[in-house]
Amino acid sequence: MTPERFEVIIRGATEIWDVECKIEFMDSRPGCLLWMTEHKVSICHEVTSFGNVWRIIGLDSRERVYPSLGSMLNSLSRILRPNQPNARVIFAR
Amino acid sequence: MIDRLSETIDPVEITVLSGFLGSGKTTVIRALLERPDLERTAVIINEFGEIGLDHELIESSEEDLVELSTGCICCVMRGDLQEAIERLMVRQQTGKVFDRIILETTGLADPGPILHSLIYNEYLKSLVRLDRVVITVDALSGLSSISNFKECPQQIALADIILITKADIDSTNVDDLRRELRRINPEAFIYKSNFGMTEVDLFSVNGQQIEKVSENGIDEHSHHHTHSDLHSISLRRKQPIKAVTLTLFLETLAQVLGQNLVRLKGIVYLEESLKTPAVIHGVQHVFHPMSWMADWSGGEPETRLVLIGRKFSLDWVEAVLETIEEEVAQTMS
Repeated sequence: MTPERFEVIIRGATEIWDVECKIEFMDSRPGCLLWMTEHKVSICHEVTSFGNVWRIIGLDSRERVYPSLGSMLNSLSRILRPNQPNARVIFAR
Repeated sequence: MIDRLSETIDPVEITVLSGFLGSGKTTVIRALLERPDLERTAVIINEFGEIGLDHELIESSEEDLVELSTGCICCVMRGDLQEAIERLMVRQQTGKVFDRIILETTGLADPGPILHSLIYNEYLKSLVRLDRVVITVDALSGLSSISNFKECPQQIALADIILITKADIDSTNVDDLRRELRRINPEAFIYKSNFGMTEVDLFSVNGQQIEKVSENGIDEHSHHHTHSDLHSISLRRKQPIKAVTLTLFLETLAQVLGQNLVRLKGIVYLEESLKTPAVIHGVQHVFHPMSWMADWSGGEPETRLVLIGRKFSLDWVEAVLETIEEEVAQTMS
């Protein structure tokens, strides 16, 4: 994960979700602070000895840790759009 | 009735015919029903409004026609759609044989939920098999409808075949309209239709052709731009994709994009099946069972996906896929 790809993913998701926010991306590593008025959400990605880790510190200041992009985006969606249900893919048999 | 029907009937092909208000759907059906080879065709008509007129405009024996007139089929009528199909199938059992059903939606319908019912509802699937989606677009007002009514580009995005109607009255806008249709849905077959007579036999465009992802690109030189926010992107990838990556990728797209993903269609170069291209086909968040092409005789093996929807970019979709590929590779190593 490069900082550039991280930025594309986070910026793209907030645009898709119509979230009004200001995002400060870090240059040196995949991470950002996402400001919604006076509140902020922190998101970062790191590779550890046991694999990928996505960390989110939400509006409630609680840290959440996720092992995959999908689970991180699912959580981020709930934080940024608490009243919007997430879609789930259905595979027709 | 349900058990009895599903046990004894072979699924009948069903064609969904949609198109914006006044775009010529009924004219197309009338012309189709005049063909001797389509005499064993049943028609389901859904009219929006208290007074149904379309069924009066179609000359057909009463027993081949089922009218739904209590609302728009896409939002409230899916139970009635099942009932209408059941009624036709009961006739089928009693000796009135149908080779094909044409379902005409209202001009305001989003065909997505209808397609979901036809491909996902187990009982409906035992009665009918979705064959193709045909959309009519009016050459006179099509560009305006695309700009001003969200239902119109939504219908176009879901088409297998698009018929440009009324070009015989005024063909001034046809080239611009064709480019706009191509921009919204680069994969659909586009033909002209005058007085319901189409350039080609609608039913001769076979399933293989419809499944095939064409090489048609998006014309970058269109001089007309509507205000439709639907767009399409094409994702290509030479490296094979693991099946688990594909599943996670589709789940992430559906989860993040929600209603912003209208259609996804394409051929996948799967690591687990290098010699046989997999065909995937999804309407919003519902995906058909994967099907397989015989081989790569149509060209070099590569994944080619077309996504139609709103607000997403090719960069974002590629970044998501690359990240999931990395995560899967790390998990497996």
